Amino acid sequence: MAAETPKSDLLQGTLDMLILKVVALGPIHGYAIALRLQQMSREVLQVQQGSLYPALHRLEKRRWLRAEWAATETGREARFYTLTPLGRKQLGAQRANWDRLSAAISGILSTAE
Amino acid sequence: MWCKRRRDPRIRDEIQFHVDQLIESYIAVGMSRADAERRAFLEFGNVAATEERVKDARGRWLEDLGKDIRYSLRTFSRNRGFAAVAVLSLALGLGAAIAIFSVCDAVLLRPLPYRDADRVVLISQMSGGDTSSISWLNYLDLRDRSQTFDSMSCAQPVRVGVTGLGPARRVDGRMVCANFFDVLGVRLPLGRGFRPEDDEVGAPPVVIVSDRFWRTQLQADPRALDRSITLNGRTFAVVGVLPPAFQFFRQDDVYAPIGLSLVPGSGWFSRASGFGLRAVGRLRANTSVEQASRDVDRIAADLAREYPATNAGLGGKVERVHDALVGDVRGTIIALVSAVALLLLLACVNVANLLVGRNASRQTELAIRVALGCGRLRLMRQVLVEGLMLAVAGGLCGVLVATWLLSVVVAAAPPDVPRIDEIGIGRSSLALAAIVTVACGIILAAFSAVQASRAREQETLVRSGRTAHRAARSTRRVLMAAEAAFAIVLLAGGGLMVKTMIRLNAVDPGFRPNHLLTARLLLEGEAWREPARRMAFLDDVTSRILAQPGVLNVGLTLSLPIDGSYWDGPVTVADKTMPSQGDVPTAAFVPVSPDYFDTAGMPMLRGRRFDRTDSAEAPRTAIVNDGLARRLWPREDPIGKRLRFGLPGPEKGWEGDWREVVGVVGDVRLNGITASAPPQVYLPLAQLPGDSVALVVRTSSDPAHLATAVQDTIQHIRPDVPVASLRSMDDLMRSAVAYQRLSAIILTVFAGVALVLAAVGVYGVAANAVADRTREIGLRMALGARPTSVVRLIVSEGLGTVLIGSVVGVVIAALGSRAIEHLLFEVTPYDPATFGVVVAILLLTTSLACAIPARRAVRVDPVRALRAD
Repeated sequence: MAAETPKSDLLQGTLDMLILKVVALGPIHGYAIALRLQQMSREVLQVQQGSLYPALHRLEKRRWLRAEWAATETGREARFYTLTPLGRKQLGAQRANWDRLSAAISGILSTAE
Repeated sequence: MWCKRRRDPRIRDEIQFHVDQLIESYIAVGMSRADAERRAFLEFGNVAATEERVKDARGRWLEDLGKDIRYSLRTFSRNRGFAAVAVLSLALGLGAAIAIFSVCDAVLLRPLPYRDADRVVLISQMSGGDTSSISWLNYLDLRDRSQTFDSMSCAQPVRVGVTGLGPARRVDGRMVCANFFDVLGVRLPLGRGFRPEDDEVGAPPVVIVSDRFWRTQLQADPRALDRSITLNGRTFAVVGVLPPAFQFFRQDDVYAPIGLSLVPGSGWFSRASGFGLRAVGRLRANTSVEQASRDVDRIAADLAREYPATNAGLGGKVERVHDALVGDVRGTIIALVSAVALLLLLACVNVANLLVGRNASRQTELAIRVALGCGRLRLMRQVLVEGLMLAVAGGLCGVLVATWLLSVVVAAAPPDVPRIDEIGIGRSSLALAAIVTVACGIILAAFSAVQASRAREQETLVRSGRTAHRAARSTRRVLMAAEAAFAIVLLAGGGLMVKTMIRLNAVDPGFRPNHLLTARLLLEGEAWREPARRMAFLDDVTSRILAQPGVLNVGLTLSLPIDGSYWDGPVTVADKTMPSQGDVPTAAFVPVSPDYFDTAGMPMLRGRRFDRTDSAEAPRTAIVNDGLARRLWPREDPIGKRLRFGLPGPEKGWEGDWREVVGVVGDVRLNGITASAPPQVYLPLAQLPGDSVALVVRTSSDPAHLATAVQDTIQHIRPDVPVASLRSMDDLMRSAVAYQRLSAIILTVFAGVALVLAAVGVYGVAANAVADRTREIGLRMALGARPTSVVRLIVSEGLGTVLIGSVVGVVIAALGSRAIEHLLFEVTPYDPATFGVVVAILLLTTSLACAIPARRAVRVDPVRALRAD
């Protein structure tokens, strides 16, 4: 389970954006999304598994993701998610927001004391 | 749910896959399967909770709704009594509301079938506050001089006899100016409207028939335009058929050009006579009714200056046809709408009361649900569904109630209620039903929700029952007082109408109406030009009817009592100073046969009756009624005095011959039951046999039994004479008060329903109060209180609440009963006797409704009561 690096809490909006980004890279199922997020953030972010699936289904309900049952390499059936054009647009918008927000925060923090 | 199956997300499978992957990953690093599983579940968290959260994220309102509905149904089936009473109360209230709204919709709200109907106005002549008909010459001046009308036309109501199409019958018709249908803006589906040529003297007679006439009399013949019909003995060519929904104040069957009435030398060309002519006009664009009114007033003033003898004191009145049509009825309908709104409120308050009581008992259940994690929103939603379900059930039953109520109303309504055949439950009524139902449901749900949300604030589950009941009790008291107030208002309305009907039935009409059969004969047309011919026929009819078994006496008259006068006019008295313009006395002139007074049962006060000596060639005689005698010759003997029909002084219109008064007869009510007897002048029929005669037959048994015999006798002599309005005098009198009777029926039914609802409400509250206080009652009984004192306690509490509500109700009723003032007869809107009786009835009902549960409570064994919670 945990390495010693501190885990950060993830706000719901941010989780949505990260999921969209991961799914943008190609069709992927829920377990793999969780692994990827952990991987890509260099173990900093570990999604609480209980929030992942509600988030995925919420995004699917909003038609930002599309889901299908398909076979994995091991032959088991899993539910794969792909990004819809609408979702792609959303990702862009949320990404722009995030950039603006983080730039603003950095701006404040980097002001010399 | 089909969509659920089609796109079943298989949430459980998806989560299971994730967990399985976790397990595999732990096994891969060397854990045992058991350890791996434990670790995986620990890491993933609560699977069931996640599944629920996913379902919530997807939104499952439909599934929840189904659950709520099923839950509500279960609750209702456990409390069947409550559900039944609630649905019934709502059904009664909603049903009455839908029915009354349907009536309003048809009569008041739907637009008339004319083009731009609110541009069409009726122009009446006013003399001293009463509308009267316009004379032809005045109409022409009005038409030529007006500046605010695009076009103007005129119409005169007539009754004509139709022969040649089956048995002779009498129909209503109208003589109209050629542009009449253009002014109204009506397009004829078959044939054409009138053309100016049709109105000229000597033009071939043409007629336009109504859709109803075309269907029933001409069998909807598509080639009706090739046919002719015989009206009053003349042949008219059919040139047009009107659209089905068309009517102008009443359902006329035939329309003919007014040129046919304009016989040179007839009274039409006198400026003083009216013949029932009315003018209609189409307002110019951007002209208001007020502007048109001023225009007409100006013309009237000009004419009064130019023709002072006939037009002095005459004014004009301009009103939209729609307003003229519903003017009389509007007041009644507004009163009914108010009453029904109250009834609906009463029903809702009743149900709310029931809900409060029931929720107080459910506090324990609700508290448990809250403890188990039911969200506030969820609870509210369930309560809303409950309220809506009750309302919807009530609404559906209400539509049934409304259908039944409407059929009763239409059957009992007087025939001249405007547009009565259009009354039915239409789209707008159903739309209103839906809206009101949902509104009721929401209001009731709000009530319940307030109660339910209190459940969350309860501390302990154990004691929640009692505290909730106590809080509910004051709410229920307030609701109870409100119910009492509404009930009093409705009861007062019903009571006032009942008293009115009693007074109406007690009126002495001045003659003996029982066992009297009436009919009207029309003797118009070429064949009846000779007065001698008419009299011969009438004598023949009289003697043959007299010969029938069961007939005691036969009389003839122009105007039947109560039915209304067919001939009114100014009276000129000989040997008296000429009165000024405004003071000319008017009277109803009534030609009658010698036996008429005896047949009708009118007492002769002085002098003699008419007899054979008052024949056509004999000196002109008259009999006056008591009222006229007192007015014209206050302290003198009227016998031997002389009078005649017509204006005094030079000029104007047709005057009758001078007549000598030979007798004085008692007063009869001529114009309806409520209007007092007007001055009347009776003339011998032989000297003035008109073309319309009413027959009265005094029978030894039920007049209805002789109706066919009388009709057959007349048709046997002359089959082409239409016999109309064949009915008993009692029927005629009943139809004269049809409005009042209908309103009385409706308001009394409302009052009855209100009383039942209030009684049920009181019973519910009392039963609840008694259940709450079971321990207290047990205690009292155990300490030696007598059962009667306990019952008295409960009853007096109920009476107290109801009394407060009644006082409020009396105040509201006193203020609001002005709305039905026009329906009342010899009863003031604040009649204290009625109010007193009504309050007493409600208090008595309350006492009973409280006493029943109270008596049941005191019979319970005190020991058991003390142990109860």
